[in-house]
Amino acid sequence: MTIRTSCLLIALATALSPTLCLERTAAQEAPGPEGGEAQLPDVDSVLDYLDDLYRSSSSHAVMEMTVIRERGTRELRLESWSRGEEDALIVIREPAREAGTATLRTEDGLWNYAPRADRLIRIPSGLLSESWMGSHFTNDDLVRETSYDEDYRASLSWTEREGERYLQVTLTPRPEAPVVYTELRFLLTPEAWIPVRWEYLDEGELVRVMTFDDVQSVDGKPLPLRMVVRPTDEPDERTVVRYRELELDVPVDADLFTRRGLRRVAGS
Amino acid sequence: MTSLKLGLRNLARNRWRSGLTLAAVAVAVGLMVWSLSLYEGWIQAMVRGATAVETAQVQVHTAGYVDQPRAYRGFRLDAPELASVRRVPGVVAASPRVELHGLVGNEQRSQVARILGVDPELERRTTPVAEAVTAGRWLADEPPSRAEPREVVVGSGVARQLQVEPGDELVTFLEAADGSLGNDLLRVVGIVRTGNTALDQQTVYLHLSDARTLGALEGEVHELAIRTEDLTRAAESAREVAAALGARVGMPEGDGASPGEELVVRPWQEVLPGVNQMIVVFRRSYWILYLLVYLLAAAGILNTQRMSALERRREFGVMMAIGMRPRRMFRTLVVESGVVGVLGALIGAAGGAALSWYHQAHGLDMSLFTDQAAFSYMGVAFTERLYFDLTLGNVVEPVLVMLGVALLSGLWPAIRSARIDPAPTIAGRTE
Repeated sequence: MTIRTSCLLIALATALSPTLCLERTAAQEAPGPEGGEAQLPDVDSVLDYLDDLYRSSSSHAVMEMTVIRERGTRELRLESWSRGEEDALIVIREPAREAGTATLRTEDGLWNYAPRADRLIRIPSGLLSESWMGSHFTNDDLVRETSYDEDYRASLSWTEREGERYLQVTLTPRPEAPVVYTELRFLLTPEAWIPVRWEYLDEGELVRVMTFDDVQSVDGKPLPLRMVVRPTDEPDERTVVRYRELELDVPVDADLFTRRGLRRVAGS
Repeated sequence: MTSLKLGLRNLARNRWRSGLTLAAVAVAVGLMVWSLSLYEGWIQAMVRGATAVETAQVQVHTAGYVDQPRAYRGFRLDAPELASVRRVPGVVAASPRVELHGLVGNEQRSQVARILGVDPELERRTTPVAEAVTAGRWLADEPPSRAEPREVVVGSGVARQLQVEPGDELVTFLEAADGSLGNDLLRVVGIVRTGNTALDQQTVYLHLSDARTLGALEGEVHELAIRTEDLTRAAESAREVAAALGARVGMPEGDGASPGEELVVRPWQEVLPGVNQMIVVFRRSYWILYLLVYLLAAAGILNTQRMSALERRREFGVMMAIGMRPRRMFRTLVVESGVVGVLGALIGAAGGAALSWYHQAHGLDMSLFTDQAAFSYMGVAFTERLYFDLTLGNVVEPVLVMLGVALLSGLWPAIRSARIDPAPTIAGRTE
């Protein structure tokens, strides 16, 4: 039983490629408990597939983000770049009042760029679970401070939701791991392993759901280009992100992920 | 009357002993009077400290804001309304405030801060915050020209956390009232240290107009903080302010309908229920002090009376034998205790009141008890001098309680003496 470390992609995902590093405990459970059930695939292969699905050395994307809150709806147009596993930059293009506002992530930390002040402001680690730019995503979705690698173990099972059968990757924290969620469930289509629904649980209670749809072929791989995140305590609220453009493995200048580079693209 | 005469004569027979008992009673009462004045003074100082720099004594918000402070739950406050509040008798000043929560910091470090937008002059008149500036200066009367960074005065804890001093730049980044993202460049012009921990560690002050721009709050405020002349009359002032604004006093009871845009006026007792509750509990604990101090005095009286009664057993026996009624005997002895109690209590009350009066006028130098001249306790600032609060109640209560204690502790020796059987007692045989 080998223990390897690999990475798979999460959430705001493609744009930022925040990598989900996960230790495979190769929870090679006996295949399907129910007799006629198809045999479970190897946990390593599934995680490898998910890794490769979103893995790219760099990316460039244009997205629309709709934040639906009790008090109103905000429509934002975002542009993002990523490079390697650490560097990422998201710039708000619209609406005009907020244009140029940006979030920069490097291996040294996470910052917001305040265009009016023309300054970066560090987002302290204590604020990681706070809302990102007023949406239902959290700063932690962007930086993934919680280490899946050290804190969680993965296992596979079959599950059924509304008559559909899915492959479920369940992440459970190791004993005494300092985690926000006590369980994560990733639901994938049984054959192609396309992400469908990710569930975040705390103390056995569902607190957040992310759903994926609008699957299209990007670089020959089927990828969901729309994701919706819903907090369960505010049933009428949600944030929808839709990719308008997505390019993987395009040349992205390393200089972009510096104050100077950021200023250049944020101002444009 | 005869009982009183007999009692006094008995007391005079052993002046040394009676004097000592009297002194014990006087010291106990004096100590209580002094302590109560000290504690009441401390409560006053605490309330003043708790309300002065931050909340002031009366506040106005929308009911929704009190329920859940959200940037969009502000209200419009026009000049005539503000003027009508200031005309309310007992109101010294009123400061309209915008309150925002967001990131304040720079590229190296940041923290979540409470951003208060204030009119520098009105805030200065309402709270002593402008006097608490330890470096730099308070906000200028007018904000700088639009091309300049906005002026900000930061709490000392914020300055320490962000490692900034006057002249340094800061950035603020927050979610505005309309859900959009506001940001601006700030320049630290001053640092305040109020001693109010929450304020010093979390609060920064901007010009009202700058905070409105930042929070997308044209013409709105979240809070009107009102300073009243008399702490103890805050509730009355709140009622009068409510009448002037056409607002309600206190939050609506129950949590039925979600509170809306109705204006709510609240005195400090309601704004800071914790402080009010603490005062109630604190006052109850006075009885522990009574118990400790008066137990000693009671033991003194009991001991003296018992001793003196035992000494006079044979005498009592003779008196009973020649026809003194037990009830008379009992009364005489109770009167003895009573006289000691009354005299001692009066002397003690006079002494305690005199000392308290002195400390009320000149204050007690608290630096005797602590290295720091001014200190902060539970987030409340205290100056080095504590001024006592001497009230009639603080004097009368210890005296009355002492009378009760004195009579009670004289009871047992009196009962024992009244039950004497004359024959064996005169014969010298013990019971």
